[in-house]
Amino acid sequence: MFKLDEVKAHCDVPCGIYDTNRAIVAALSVVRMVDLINARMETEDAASAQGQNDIARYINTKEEEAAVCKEEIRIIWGDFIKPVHVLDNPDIHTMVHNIMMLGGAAKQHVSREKAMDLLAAVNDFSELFWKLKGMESKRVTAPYAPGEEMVLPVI
Amino acid sequence: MLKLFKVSGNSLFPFYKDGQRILCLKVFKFNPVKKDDTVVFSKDSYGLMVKKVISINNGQYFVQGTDPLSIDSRNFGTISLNEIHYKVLF
Repeated sequence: MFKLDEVKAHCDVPCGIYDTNRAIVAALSVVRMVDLINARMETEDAASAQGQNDIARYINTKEEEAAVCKEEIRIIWGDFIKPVHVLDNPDIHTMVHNIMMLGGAAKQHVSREKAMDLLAAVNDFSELFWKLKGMESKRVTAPYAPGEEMVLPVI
Repeated sequence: MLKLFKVSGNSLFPFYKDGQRILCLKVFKFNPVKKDDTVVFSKDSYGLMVKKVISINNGQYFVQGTDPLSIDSRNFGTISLNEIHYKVLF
């Protein structure tokens, strides 16, 4: 019928692309690395050069993935979360700070319990994130090792 | 006096989303621009824009989006009243 004039509400990068999936995959990777470290330590040649090499690589990946997890959550918290979201959900800052601490703990320790705590906190944050986006989410079992729970949007 | 616009972009999310229609009232003597108003204005090469008024100093209006990467007064400085055409009603 008729065309409306457009008013620009643009950003200096393509905006609106936020997703917690990378953070969840990173948290799952931390759990997986803990499992691999513990399994390799049980092998007879764990102290050999090859065993040490394998374990060093697992630890390195655990460090990297915990850092990715924290960074992804920080970006969503800093760029996507607005004051109006905090008014309606006053626990957001505490949730994010908790993830930062759990990410640090996951780096410091070889603890499946701590890695699972990180994953649980990221999944909880993800549920809230999709709710703020006006979308439903669901909890599913990851179709790959370590086969733990992950939150996905219902598309 | 009244005009409908279509928002392009997400720099005012979650208040206004990409593609949303907004009803605006022309700025005039009895409809002055105040702090926290969302306004439609034209800015040089940027064209017709919509942002929120954060502060007013000496007849200069500092406008800003909610997104940290929004293009607004942080990029092009303050705007003057004669550049502001409409106030967003809803």
